Amino acid sequence: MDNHEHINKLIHDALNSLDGAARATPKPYLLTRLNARMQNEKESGWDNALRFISKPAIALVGLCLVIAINATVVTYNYPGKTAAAAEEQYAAVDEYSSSTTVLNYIENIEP
Amino acid sequence: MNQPELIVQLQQGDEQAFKKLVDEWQDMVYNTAIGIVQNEDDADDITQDVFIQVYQSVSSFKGESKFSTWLYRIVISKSLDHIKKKKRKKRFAFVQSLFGTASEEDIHPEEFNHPGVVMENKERAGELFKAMEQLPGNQRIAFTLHKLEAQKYQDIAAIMDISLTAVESLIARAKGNLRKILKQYYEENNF
Repeated sequence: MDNHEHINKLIHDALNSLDGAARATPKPYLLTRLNARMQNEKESGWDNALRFISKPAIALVGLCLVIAINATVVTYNYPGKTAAAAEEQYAAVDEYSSSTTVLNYIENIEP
Repeated sequence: MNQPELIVQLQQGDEQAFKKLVDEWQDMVYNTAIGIVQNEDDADDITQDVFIQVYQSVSSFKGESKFSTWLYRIVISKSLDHIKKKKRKKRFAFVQSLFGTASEEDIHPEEFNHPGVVMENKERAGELFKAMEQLPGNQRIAFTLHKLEAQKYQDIAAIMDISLTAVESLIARAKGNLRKILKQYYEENNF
């Protein structure tokens, strides 16, 4: 057999070397390893979230955000009521001051 | 439990159904992954990644294709991602080697031996796998599915979402390229 033929035979054998190969199988206890990994990922997901939230900068920004949202909600939800309450207050003050004037006047009248 | 029932139960988060799925498909997933990435530990990691993704995204499986087709697609996509990451790592290891900090395995990985190949074919199969590493992605996938998973051309076409003619052409080109690579290898190494 000359070299050319020999190489052709090697190529042929290599190309057909996978014929009849059995399926490779994973290491044992794949399901156990899978469950452990999924559990770890679940836990580490919560851990990462908590670690992120507890960073001072994030916590401060969160706090400011909550305060800002509260202030916005209060301002935009009750503008009418605030104005009405203020008006009512002015009216009460006016009424009080006018009634004290009347009382003073009555007190000052000599019998 | 038949396959549609199994899928419905998986979509409802049934753990027994997940166990059954792993039992039934683990060899197919592992064998495909090992054929593409050519490393037992990497194939094991990919197998786990695939099943976790299946568990998380089975609700998106609408039954438009066969379940096995959907599963093959996930395995192939994960395996190709893994190869990309490994290539990046290899490039980084090369840079590290200039400073003498990379391990030998990072630069020259060990030769791969498929555990399912019969003893008398091991040597030739090792050479074939080495040659397969040089094939373009699509040719490599088509050849692996055909040779290692004994998939019919029609099924390969469905998995790769290409026409039957395209599969025939891919496999013919893969064989042609492998012949060239192997010829060069045997000639250079005086076989």
